[in-house]
Amino acid sequence: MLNIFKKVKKWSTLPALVLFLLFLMIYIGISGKFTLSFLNSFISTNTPAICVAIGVAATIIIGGTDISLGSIVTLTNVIIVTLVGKNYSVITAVLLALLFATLAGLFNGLLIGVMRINPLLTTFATSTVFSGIALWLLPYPGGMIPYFYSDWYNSKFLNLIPIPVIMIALPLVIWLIFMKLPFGIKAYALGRDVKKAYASGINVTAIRLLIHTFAGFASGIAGICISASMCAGNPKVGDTMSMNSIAAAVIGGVSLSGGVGGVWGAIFGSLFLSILISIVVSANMSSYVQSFVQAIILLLGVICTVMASDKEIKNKITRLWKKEDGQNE
Amino acid sequence: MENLKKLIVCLLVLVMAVGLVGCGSKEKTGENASTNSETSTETSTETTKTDTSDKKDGFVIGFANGYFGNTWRSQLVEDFENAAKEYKKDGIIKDYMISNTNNDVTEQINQIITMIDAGVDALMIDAVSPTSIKAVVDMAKNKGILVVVTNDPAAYEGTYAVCGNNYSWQKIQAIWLTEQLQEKGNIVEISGVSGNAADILRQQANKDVLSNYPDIKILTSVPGNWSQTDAQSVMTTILSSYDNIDGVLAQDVMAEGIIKAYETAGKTPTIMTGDYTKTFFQKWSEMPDLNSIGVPYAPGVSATALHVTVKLLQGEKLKEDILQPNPMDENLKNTILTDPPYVVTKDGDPEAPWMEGLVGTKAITLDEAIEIMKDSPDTAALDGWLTAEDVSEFFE
Repeated sequence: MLNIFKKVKKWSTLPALVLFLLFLMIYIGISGKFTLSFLNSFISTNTPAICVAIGVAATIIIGGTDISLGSIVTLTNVIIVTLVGKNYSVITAVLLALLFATLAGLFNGLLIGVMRINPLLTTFATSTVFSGIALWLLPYPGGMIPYFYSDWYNSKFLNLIPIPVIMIALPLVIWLIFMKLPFGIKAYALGRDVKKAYASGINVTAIRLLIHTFAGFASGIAGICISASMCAGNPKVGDTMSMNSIAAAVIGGVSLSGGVGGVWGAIFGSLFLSILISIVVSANMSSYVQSFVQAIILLLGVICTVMASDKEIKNKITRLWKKEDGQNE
Repeated sequence: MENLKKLIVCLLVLVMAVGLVGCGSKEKTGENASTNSETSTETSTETTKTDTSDKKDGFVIGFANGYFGNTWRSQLVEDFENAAKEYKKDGIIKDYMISNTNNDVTEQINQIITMIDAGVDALMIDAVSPTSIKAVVDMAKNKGILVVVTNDPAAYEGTYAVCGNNYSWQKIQAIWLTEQLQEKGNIVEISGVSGNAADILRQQANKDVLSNYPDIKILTSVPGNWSQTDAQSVMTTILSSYDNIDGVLAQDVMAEGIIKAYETAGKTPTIMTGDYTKTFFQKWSEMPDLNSIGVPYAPGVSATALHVTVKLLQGEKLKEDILQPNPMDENLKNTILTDPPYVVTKDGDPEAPWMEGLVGTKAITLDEAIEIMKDSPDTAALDGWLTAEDVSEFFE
């Protein structure tokens, strides 16, 4: 059983990885070059989206979802700016904001895990609550964080590893450790079938609570990163992130019905979505077809990954294959 | 074995997908690959001589637009594109890039880093939010790329901004209203979204003008959120509480909502500031008793900004008194504020008091405005921009 789970996990990432690398090649082909500075800014720009994708993938894997993560990103950003404006040091502000983001995730977890309210409904409601608080704290874009914060974000840890990579590693490593523990198998089992998981004595409440708290934490990290790249506040900055991150997770092979996929897939799914933007811009298409082309490629990407991970479709293709093999022989 | 097949299937599907994508953008791809590789070599040599650049043509300019959901924004992008095409024909611009997003901060930053990577000489940015583009502005500055903030003001050191002048735009309408009222009467003021930078400037203009006319009394001042429906409901309330309204001082898009409120109340407005869309002008022409004014907050500002950008790239120096304090940060003097291209009134009097001190503004009649817009879609804004010659007036 364990072996199968592991195989499925490994396999589900591959399509997204291939998809990303392929489109990276296409981008390099179109722009005619590949520079390290582009790669750097590409990663630091998309670190927030990647962190949110990690968080949302975790909630989908256990059979739930979370559409409030974008609002938690906004809330983190707004809290940092507000606290800095009230003369707190940047580090205090960042840590407090991360704490609030984690608490916001815990709040989701309490409603979903303990009160057993449907995750979609819960997070739909809490997303409005969180963005409402953000709007109340900072009604208009503004505020100011000292620029050394963004210098720190663009620097390298020990002159070796870029800070954005470390920021992605934070939730990622926590998740990977979780998965090494028995907790990991229980989480996937919960995603596969709640009733069976419950019947086998898995503590459903605890897992949901923990995973949603984790998602809140990951979004907090995303908020810290996006604040660093803006050095200012914007009460709408995370609005589009919730849906984009779910799309990233699905492209990454995370099944919306739960129990299938992994966070690596979500990371590459997110990178794929972003490189797509770059391709459309550098292909220099007319404004009116840009979003159409982007959507078509995205759709193809989703179809590819779903076909690669959906058993039935795969079996059909395999059967076709076998027939042809037979004829050839 | 099983896994290998899976892999092969997956790859095949991908190859098909790529084939499709390739078909879609092939013609462009080849052309771009070549132009962009040229650009890359150019920029690498250029970074060393950024400030002393004496290049006069062959520029690459990127325009990143932060919202693309209404006619006004389509006009903004089209105006840029048309002006850019002209420059491309003359060889002054080698290529231009346009990106659009619907208020997605991360997407816009991705688009801009792509443009920077493609080796643009200048970036024109209409930011999703005035605070969202610090990272890319820094990146551009490090590479010696000129940044011109376009249309929506945003304040960043070391950049230029070209924006519509909200203050003079509203001032024209306030002066017009005082003239129509012969300097006395009761008015109501309907403002935009409270706290928004544009609205603050517009309200300031109203206040500055009206303070000279003690006999004009503001009965009430309410925000209508630049929304037709909000303005309509606000105006309905106002109409039921006051029956001595002589004039309405509102802002653009809300005019039609105000007219609807009057109609529902069974009254007709007499003196009110108006909108500058084709639908409003048509409505106005069918209302003989209505005395109104249409001052376009023109999307053509993108074309004006392109002319400024090209001149700056060519190394020309701006006259000292041209740069105004940035609307988002008055300590930063980096902004060119453009006056409206037209003022539309019934008689289109160019000598009227509200026409004083405007640069490049034409007074036209309602009939002329309708004639100009006869081929435009209904929701289009009356549009105009400064030509390259007009803009050269800004330079030494």
